[in-house]
Amino acid sequence: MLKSRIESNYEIHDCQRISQGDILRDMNFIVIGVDEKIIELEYQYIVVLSQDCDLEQANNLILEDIKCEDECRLFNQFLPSVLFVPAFPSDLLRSGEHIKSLYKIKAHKLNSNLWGPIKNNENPRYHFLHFDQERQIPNLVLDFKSYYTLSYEYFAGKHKEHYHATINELFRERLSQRFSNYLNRIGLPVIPCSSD
Amino acid sequence: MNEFLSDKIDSYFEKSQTTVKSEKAATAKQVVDSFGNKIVDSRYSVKRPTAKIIGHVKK
Repeated sequence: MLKSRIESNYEIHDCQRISQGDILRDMNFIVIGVDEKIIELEYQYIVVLSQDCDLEQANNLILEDIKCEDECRLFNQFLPSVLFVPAFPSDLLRSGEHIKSLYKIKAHKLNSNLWGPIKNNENPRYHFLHFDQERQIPNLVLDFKSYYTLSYEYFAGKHKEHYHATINELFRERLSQRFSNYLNRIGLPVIPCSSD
Repeated sequence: MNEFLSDKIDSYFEKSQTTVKSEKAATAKQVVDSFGNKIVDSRYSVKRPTAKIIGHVKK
């Protein structure tokens, strides 16, 4: 067995700042839609994916008394926005109806053959988070095609109210790595087979 | 475990061991005991994401 001081998939921190791997519950936020409609979205769970060192430095801007120059604050590590991913209850995603209520779009149901690799985190598009009864976290699945950013200050305002738990170290790094690997995939053109 | 993979979303948490919904017929004491005397959060049930148009950007 791997020697580690990590004893669970999740932890709960003091919520003094936004951290990588934070899970927020019942998170609502504003996006702009077609014809400049203002739309309020609400997801039951979302997970923060921004790097923790970036988030810490962003928080320093708030905490530290940084000197001003020509009415500008001198700061080299400004983080304009926070990256996060909705986490869908696993059966909702498996049914193909996880975004039906948002976009009137249904996906194919995932049968056992397709679901197995997702549950084992062997499908690069999805990331499975196991339930934790003590921390009231159900089985969740992240779909890496679905992600958002919000301004740091706007997100920070929501964070304390909606903070629920945090994915523990190593598990959150694994999530970040799988997300970035998915975004880094190379789309290849379909080349018709020559008939010679 | 197959119960967790039910296609009936609404019944998911009812069948799982993670919510008080599965204990509808049980007494309150049995429900509390089943969670190790911890109070179960009533919000712990499946909610679909929602989108609500609340206005337009002013020009």
